[in-house]
This record gives sequence, C-alpha cells and structure tokens, in this order.
Amino acid sequence: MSMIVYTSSAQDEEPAGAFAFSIRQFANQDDYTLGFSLSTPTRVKKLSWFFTFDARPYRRKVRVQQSNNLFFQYAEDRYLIGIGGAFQKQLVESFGAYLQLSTHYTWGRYSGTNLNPPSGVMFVPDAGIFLQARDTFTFKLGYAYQGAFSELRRVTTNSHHRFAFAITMDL
Amino acid sequence: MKNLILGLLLISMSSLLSCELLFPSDDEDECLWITCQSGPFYSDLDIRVTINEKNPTVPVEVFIGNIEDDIFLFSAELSKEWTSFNLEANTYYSVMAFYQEGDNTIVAINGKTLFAPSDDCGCDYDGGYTNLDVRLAD
Repeated sequence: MSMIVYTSSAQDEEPAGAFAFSIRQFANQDDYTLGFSLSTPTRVKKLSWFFTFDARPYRRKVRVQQSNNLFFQYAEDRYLIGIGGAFQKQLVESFGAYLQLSTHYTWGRYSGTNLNPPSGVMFVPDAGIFLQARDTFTFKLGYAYQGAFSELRRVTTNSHHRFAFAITMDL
Repeated sequence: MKNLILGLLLISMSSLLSCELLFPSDDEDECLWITCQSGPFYSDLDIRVTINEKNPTVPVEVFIGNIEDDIFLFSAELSKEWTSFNLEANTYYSVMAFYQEGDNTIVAINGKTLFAPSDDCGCDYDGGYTNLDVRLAD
C-alpha cells in the first residue's frame, strides 16, 4: 500500500481574500500626485489586482493657447481613478522587483471658470524595486509612464515620466 | 504587527469618542445661549501677481462667482506683488490678471471662496484672509 503525500509551497499560492492598502506618490519636476490603492492577491502566483485613487494636492498652473498671441493660464485640479494588475518577484531575501500595469480615468477642474480641462483614459505602466519589512510593510520605488490618449495630448505639456513611491501595508 | 497597529487605531478612536460622552465640554453648554451675528462679514482677499520688468503694473478684474457668471465687482491696477482687498466673506471670487510677454498676452485666471473666520461656537466674525494666486507660471 503506498501513500501519496501532496505538499505545496507557501510561495506558490497567495491566500485568497487578503487585502493590502498602499499610500502612493507619483512625481516629476513639474507635477506631483498623492493617492491610495487597495489590492487583493489572485490565485496566480505573485499577481494581484488593485484599485487606485490619486489626486494632485495643489492647483497646477497650465497654459492654453486661445489664438495666435493670446494665452489663458488656469489653476488646475486633477484626479485619477483606476484599476490594474501587479506582479512581484522576490530576488534576494526581502528585496525584489515589481511590474504594474493599470488603466486610469482622469478628470480635472479649472478654478474661477466654467471651463474644465480635458478628461480621458490614461495607461500607466510602472516598474521598480521593493523592500519588505516585518512581513507587513512593503516599500516600492520605481519609474512610471503616464501615457495619455486623445484629448489629453493636446494640453498635457508636462512630461509623462514619473518617479513612483509607495508604502504598502498588508491588512 | 498589523494587529498591533489596528488595535492602536481602535483604542485611539474609542478614547476620543468616550471622552466626548463622559466629559462633555462646558463650551458646548455656553454656545447654547449665544446668538450668532447675522452678518455680512468681511475678510481680506490677498491677490498675488507677478511684478517684473515687462509687467511693472498688472491690471486685474475681480468677479463674484466664476468669470462666465459675469458679475463684475471691480478692476484695479496692481503695482505690488501682494495686494489686499476687504470683501464680503463666504463668497466665491474669481480674478483675471493680464500680462504681456513680448507679443503675447497671458490672462491668468483663478478663483477661491473667501471664508469668514469662526469662533468655538461656530459663529462667523470679521477678519481673516485668503490668498488668491494669479502669478505667471514659471
């Protein structure tokens, strides 16, 4: 009589239903956003889904050309809401690399006028390194590209390149 | 670790709530007998503009509400970076500032609500200020 013993590695399967909460920032020399994300792992190895909300915590001045020699400068608020997927690979002990792909809807508001800046969909790949601390906190540092579509290209004059920084806590 | 953090958050929140229930503030009793002034109240709207060689003075126009509401209040020629105007509080104001950059005209627009300060009983009073920045972007 033989007995077959099945074993599974703890790293192969993530517990379903667990959540993680992140405070995240994207910045370059012209722009800065602050937000949060809520993620949940999937049964696929090292892959998780997440929902995000980000906002610019100040009004950024943007310039829009009205005619040949006339420009309007507005004070713009901006918000982003999105969903995406993230993959993490542990390399050495508590240090590793991550890749995130997300789609966001962004909209804004100009102060002092009924006009609003263009809204639309943005696609944001984000990759970098992470450091785990005490099995609960994860610090991420990476590069993100905020790719704009259609109308957004017309007035988005600042760079699409961003530094990404996040602190994640497992709930 | 996460249980410790969640526990500390719960303890902090329950402490705040229980203090309010067990030790109600005497100030809240005093506020029951106070009738707030009806207003209107006035605060300072501090408008900030860019003063440079090309723009030694900056003409501005002030509106109530958004520009498109067309409720023109007044215009002024500003020669200092900061200029204060004492206006009715709890009102949204919009400002247009006109600049020249070579052959180009730049119209800077911004708006903000000018709030009146309030005391511990929630009564508004005159005073306070709000900054409205219509400087040129770098």
